[in-house]
Amino acid sequence: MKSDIPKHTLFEYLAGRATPLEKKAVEEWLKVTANAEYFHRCVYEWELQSPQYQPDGDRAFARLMEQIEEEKTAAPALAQETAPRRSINWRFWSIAASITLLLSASAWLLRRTILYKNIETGYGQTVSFNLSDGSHVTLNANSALSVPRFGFDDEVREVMLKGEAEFLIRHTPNDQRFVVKTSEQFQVEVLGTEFTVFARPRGTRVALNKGKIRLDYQNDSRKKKLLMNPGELVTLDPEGRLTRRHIGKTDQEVAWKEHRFAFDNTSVLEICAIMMENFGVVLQPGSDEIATRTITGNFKAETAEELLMVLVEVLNLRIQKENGRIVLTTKETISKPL
Amino acid sequence: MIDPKPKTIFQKERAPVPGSEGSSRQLDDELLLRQTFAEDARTGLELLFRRYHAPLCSHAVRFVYSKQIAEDLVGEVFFQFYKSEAYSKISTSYLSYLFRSVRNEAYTYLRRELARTSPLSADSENQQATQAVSPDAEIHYNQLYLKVNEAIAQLPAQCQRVFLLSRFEDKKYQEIADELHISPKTVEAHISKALRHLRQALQHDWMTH
Repeated sequence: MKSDIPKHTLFEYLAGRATPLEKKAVEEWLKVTANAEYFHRCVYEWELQSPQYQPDGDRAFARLMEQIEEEKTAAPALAQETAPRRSINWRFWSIAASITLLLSASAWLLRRTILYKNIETGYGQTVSFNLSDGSHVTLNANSALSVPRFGFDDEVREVMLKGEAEFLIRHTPNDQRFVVKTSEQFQVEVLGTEFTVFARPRGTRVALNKGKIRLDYQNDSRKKKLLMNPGELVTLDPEGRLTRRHIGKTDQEVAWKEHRFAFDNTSVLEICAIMMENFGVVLQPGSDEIATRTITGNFKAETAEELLMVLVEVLNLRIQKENGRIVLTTKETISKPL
Repeated sequence: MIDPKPKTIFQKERAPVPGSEGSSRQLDDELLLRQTFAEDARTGLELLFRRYHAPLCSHAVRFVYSKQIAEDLVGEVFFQFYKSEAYSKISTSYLSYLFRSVRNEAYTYLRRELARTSPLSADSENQQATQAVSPDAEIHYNQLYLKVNEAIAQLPAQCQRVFLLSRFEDKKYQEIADELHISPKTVEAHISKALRHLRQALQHDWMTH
């Protein structure tokens, strides 16, 4: 399955960005029927990297199964005929369509599905993909990125983030700015660089690895700007207070990419928030004393249970399950004796 | 309580691992799929579906610009693949077969919808079954979705918004009118304008045989 055409050239071609010469070469190559196999493999990989949207696979599969069942139960004689091939209603403008099926996304995303392409991750999932400008994004669990369907390649490349992501921005020849918006009050603006953004209810955090970025934020309804240097970490708490500190290496900020959790004097209370953010699991410290205990170190955990095991072992705690919540208690006391 | 493995099956598939897609692994995948189909077609279908459904839909939507239609087209391709037992007959890989079929279906769909004003192309519609063998087909498919994208990008902002609401989101005229605070008549006007523009932009793209 060797090809004369490099894979990245094929990707550029598929995205409509190939030079006229590349285009000609690819199209000549495509005329050879034997190359279709490799070409389709590349289309597949390209779609994995730059998905247009994420269909509901479970629902679609259930529908396919229904269709197969129906076919089976229909009179077998009928199947012999050259039956109408498709069950699709060939409407270009469907007025009476079942729109309710599409309305499953959250309200925030819903408003943005028209002009924006959304990539979402569920609890415990991470996903990497390329934007149409070649920039690379890795999205952490329980996060969503909205990219304009049109005009993304205009003067300003703007995306919206809920959750946590790492960006490797490609610098374009015409110096297009790249803007990550996390709310009306906060945005990160860059040219070409590497950084991570964390935007969840308990605050916003930006770590810069390479290059320069500008933060635009609002404090007491005044617009402010801040220029960040590599190796810096800026946090904005829910009250709008901003702190900046130098952390040197920013690897820890993207530990989640390898399902690692990097704790540095991290309190149990914070870990409970992380549990909720990444796995949707409600974890609560059983006492104030437990809440303020801290952990330092790197831990690998792909599931909520693995992370929970770390906590329990390191801090010598026990867990109790109470109506959908998990409560951390010390080993000696039993909080609710029967 | 905790579901240790939430629905990760799609995500794991989707997360691309650049460079790790060695050709031997592809062959293994294909071999596994074929073996599963040979043992139990229903299980094979599920495996195949889990692996390729999302990227196929993502590809189809570039042509037809409607999630609903893209998923209908892709679903139909899987259905035919299963029903006609293509899995035991084809000599190409399943992946190649699926992508070729979806691209062909998307092309045919667009032609039916956008080229139907001309009696000539309505005529050639009957030949669609044979067109898959054309050596230029793949090139045409590529040009087609890029042109669709370009044509939509050229629409004036409001017209584009109406088009996408109606088309991509499958919304009713009245809903669009309410959402954008315009009259349903204006919605209609925007849509026929968008359609006209698309027809015009794509008029030379229908392969002749």
